Amino acid sequence: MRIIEKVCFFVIVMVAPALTQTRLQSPSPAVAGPAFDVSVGYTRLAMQMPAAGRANFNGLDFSGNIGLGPRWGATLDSNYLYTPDVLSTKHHGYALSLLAGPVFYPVAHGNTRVFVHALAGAGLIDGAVPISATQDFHGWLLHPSYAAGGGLEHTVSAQLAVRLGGDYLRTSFYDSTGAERPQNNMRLTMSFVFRLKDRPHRSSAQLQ
Amino acid sequence: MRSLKIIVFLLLVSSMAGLAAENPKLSSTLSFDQTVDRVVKREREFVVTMKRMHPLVETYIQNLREDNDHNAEPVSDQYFLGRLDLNDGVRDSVFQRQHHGFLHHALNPVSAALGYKFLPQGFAQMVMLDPDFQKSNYRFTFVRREFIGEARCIVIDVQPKEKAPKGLFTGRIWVEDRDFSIVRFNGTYSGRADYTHYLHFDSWRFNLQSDVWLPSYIYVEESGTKRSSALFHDLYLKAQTRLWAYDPEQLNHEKEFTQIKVDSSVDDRSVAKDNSPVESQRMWERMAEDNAVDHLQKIGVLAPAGDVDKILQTVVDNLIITNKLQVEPDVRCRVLLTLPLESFTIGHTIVVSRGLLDVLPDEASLAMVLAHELGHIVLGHHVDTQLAFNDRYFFADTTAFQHLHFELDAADEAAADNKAVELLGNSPYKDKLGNAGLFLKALQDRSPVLANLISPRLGGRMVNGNTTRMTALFTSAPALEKQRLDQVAALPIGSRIKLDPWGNQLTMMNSKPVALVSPREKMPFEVTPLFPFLTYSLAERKLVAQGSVGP
Repeated sequence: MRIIEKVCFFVIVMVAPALTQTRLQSPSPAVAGPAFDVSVGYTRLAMQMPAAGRANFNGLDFSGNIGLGPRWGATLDSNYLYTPDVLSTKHHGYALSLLAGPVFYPVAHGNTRVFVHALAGAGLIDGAVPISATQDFHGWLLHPSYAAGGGLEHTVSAQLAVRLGGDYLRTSFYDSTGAERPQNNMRLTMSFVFRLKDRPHRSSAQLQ
Repeated sequence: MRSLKIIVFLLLVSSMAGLAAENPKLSSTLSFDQTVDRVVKREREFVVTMKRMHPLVETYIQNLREDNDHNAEPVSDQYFLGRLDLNDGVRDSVFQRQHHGFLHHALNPVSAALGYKFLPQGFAQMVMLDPDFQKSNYRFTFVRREFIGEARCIVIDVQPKEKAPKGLFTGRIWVEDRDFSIVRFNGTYSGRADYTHYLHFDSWRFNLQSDVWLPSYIYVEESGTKRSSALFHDLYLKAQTRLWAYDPEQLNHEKEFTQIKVDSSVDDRSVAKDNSPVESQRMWERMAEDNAVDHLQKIGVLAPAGDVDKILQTVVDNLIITNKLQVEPDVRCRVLLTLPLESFTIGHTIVVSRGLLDVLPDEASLAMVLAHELGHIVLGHHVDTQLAFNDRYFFADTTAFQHLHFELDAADEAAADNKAVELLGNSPYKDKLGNAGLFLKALQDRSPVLANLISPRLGGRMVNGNTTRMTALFTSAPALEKQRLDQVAALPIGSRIKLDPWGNQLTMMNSKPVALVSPREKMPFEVTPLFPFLTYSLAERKLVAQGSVGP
């Protein structure tokens, strides 16, 4: 419940400035159309294993985005995270997720804009949980998964941007008794965004 | 020698006095900074003036694609007609032929989500440089002085300052130096967003009334990287926006109410006054025809009777006389002010669109269009006499295309085609019909990609799938050879007709014929840039003439 409250608060803080902005300030655009981009980057997940401790996963994030409006878009996000030794069990572990959902851009200033997303899909966790000093439980679980969060995106050139984001990723894994347990983990991502359609970039010539 | 010097001195003084008197406003010497102040003040006055105006705005867009030989050709098109309202931001009430409901959009989710959407108000926006034009937001750089037609202009580069808000104009302005009105601006709006796009445009204003320069023509062009992928191609288009129907008296006839004229009534009992049933029927049909013509003119989509009508009338008269036709009541010709290629009849009134007249290559092609419509009249095809009732016209202007239809069924169109071939066979145009057939071939060739240009708003279609009007002429025409320079099957848009945006009067363009250098310059049915010859309105010219007389 606390996490949902945090996410709601975060969304309200992000959305409020957008709602107060007046639309009459800028000229009406002549064309509206989808903007496509793909991104690849580094991601880190601090995974709390139920009743066992915390394991840090590192890996790659791939995503595809489509802009469907001045403030709205949709994203398809996939992660592959790996750790060579889960909680000193000598077992490697990995987390694979495939999530999709809407993205909202509440604020944009110059070449930087803020995004908030809410994603849903599936997450596969392969890991291990120590049962005793000499025994551990090893397995994998495929289960529905959700993520909510946001971040910043800074346009570097017409076709390249850098995206920094963080979200709460909800997955599931077994605890030391073998029971399925949901878990909420903080995921941080830094990625390079390649735009398939040019995003107009405020060049220095325009700013002179 | 001394007297010669005196004469030369007197001549110099008198000529300088004459130059100063020619336009008293030019005699004042302003610094560049003061000039910019005047321009800003004038532009702010323009914004106030524009808020009182509600012209019609027509935008036609052609999306382009470049082939392997780097020839750009239209691949699709889009058309909007609307009435402009700048009182609360930019609003453009669009004339719609059909109302697309939720189901239409729900059934096309992919195209709606993935395709570019052109926004009529965004094109209408280009009439405005900046609705809140402030000197402090921009950097102004003097470029040069130059003439555009009669208007001597100061050319200034305008760029937003670094800390200025988003959405400001960046580009070049041309300011006429009598009243410091901006007569042309060329550039775009800065600070675009991810999903929406501002386009590059060249916006022209005409001197329509004394001291009033109003937006009349905008040319838009975007050429991205022209990648051929259907999904990811950049914006690559040409478009034109025209504005007209500024004169508020065209919309409400209040002035006529204050100028009631009572014609003298002559009581001549020797003349028969009663109407026979046939005459009454004709009068009833004429009333329906007059009502429809009046209404179309009132809402600004039909030009008032004028010079171009007379040219059409001459061609129709040629057809009538050479075919020895007796048509009662008289056949009249009028021009629809809109671009889509169409012609139709309202009773005995032949209506041809401005766009169709623009692209017809010669008089024989015009005769073909008019002969088809004359065929309907001669064959006595149906007139919708419901239009004789005035309550039929109580609808919003923007729904006119939904309420008024003048298309006829396929059988009537085929009969009119046959009749037209017969009429043309007896006419002075009978030996020049090859070009008319070529025009039909060019039209059919482009019809799959220019669907909006060939879609009529009020009349019937000139091309329907694989068939065109006047199939007999189509089949007998020579082959269409796009690479042949001497074969011009159709002209670019805007080739013939000049439109007065204030009173909607049409005149023929006064341009000299140009020899084509390459087949690329043929540009049939294509949007091209326009470089109008700017003139001062008659009232303004009178003011200058008076000035030159004074001391």
